[in-house]
Amino acid sequence: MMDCTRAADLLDEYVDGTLPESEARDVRDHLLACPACARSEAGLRALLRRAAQLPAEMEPSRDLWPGIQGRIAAEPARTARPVPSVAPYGWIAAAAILLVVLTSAVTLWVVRRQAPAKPPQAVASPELAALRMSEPDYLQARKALYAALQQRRGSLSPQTVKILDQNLAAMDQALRAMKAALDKDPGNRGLAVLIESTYRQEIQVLMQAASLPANA
Amino acid sequence: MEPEAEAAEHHEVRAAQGGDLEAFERLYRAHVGRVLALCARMTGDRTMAEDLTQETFVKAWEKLASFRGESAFGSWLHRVAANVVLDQARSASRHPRKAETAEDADVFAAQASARDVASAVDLERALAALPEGARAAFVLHDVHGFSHEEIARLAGQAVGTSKAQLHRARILLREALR
Repeated sequence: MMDCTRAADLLDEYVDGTLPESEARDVRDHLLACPACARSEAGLRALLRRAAQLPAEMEPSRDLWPGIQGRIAAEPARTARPVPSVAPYGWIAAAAILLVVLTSAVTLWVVRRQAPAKPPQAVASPELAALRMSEPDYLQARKALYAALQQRRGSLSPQTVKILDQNLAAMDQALRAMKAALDKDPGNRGLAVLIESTYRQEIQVLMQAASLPANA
Repeated sequence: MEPEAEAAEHHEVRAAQGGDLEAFERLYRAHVGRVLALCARMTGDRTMAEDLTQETFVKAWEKLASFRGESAFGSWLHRVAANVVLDQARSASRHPRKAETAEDADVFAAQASARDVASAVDLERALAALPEGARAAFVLHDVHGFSHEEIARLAGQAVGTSKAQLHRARILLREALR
């Protein structure tokens, strides 16, 4: 007959179902005969039930993605890889489309601003709070990518460099206009979202530019 | 995971392996909650857990080419996360213990059903108070389903050590929750 010390030693594996059947049978027999060890087994099973009921997910207190994206962008040499899904010059088309979208967005904002509108909300929105938290990461990533691009400038074709410069300048101008507008109207949720979205797209274009082959 | 969702995720992984950062962001959005839960429970420190979650996804991006699809992407990602947390623990002399641990436990349990909240908060608090090795063993084995062999490999220790740490954790938790 198994004693309590031995049964306690084997209880974890018995409950986990990893004990060989011959030993499991001895533990089972002991638990039937020993109320103290049976209580211990019940307590362990209850603990494991509670562990299984813990929430599988937790909500981050802030959006962690900008920081991740910033770190990935800041180390393009280590992390860059081929981008087979984008055809040669495909990114230029993407950037051109982005330019149109940005220009339209800024125009739309200016038009709306000129029209009689409800008074700006004085209270900052959750979207603005999120932007304020993620902005340092974007700015760090932009800085690193601009530096990387500066080094690569000579290896790209003049046409590529020209289009890239035009698009980056347009994005920069759009960002400045939107940020100035947001300073005056911090409750404008759409603007905060648009700025964050523009940052993301700018990083994406910069990363794709950084991974272009020489003479592209 | 449903076969359709699995196929969609496989497609996202392939795209991310090809350098598509937007696909990787979608994978991040799908998995961040579980990765954060693992990091938070292993460290007992919510702020550190968010930093380690970011580190996990940066590491995952760097190692993505080595993912061959032999296991689910989520399982692979959890191994990366466990490795990141254990590496951090190895490099630090100790985890700074935070005063807001109890408050964190309330946040941890916020997504549980109302009936389970009190129980979850108690268990999260007790978990956060465990010694580091015991906590890691319990979280990985009993909460996230790692085997002792996997834990031993990740922690660079013997299987017997993982079993001993789990045994210790289970005893301490039952005492704490009594």
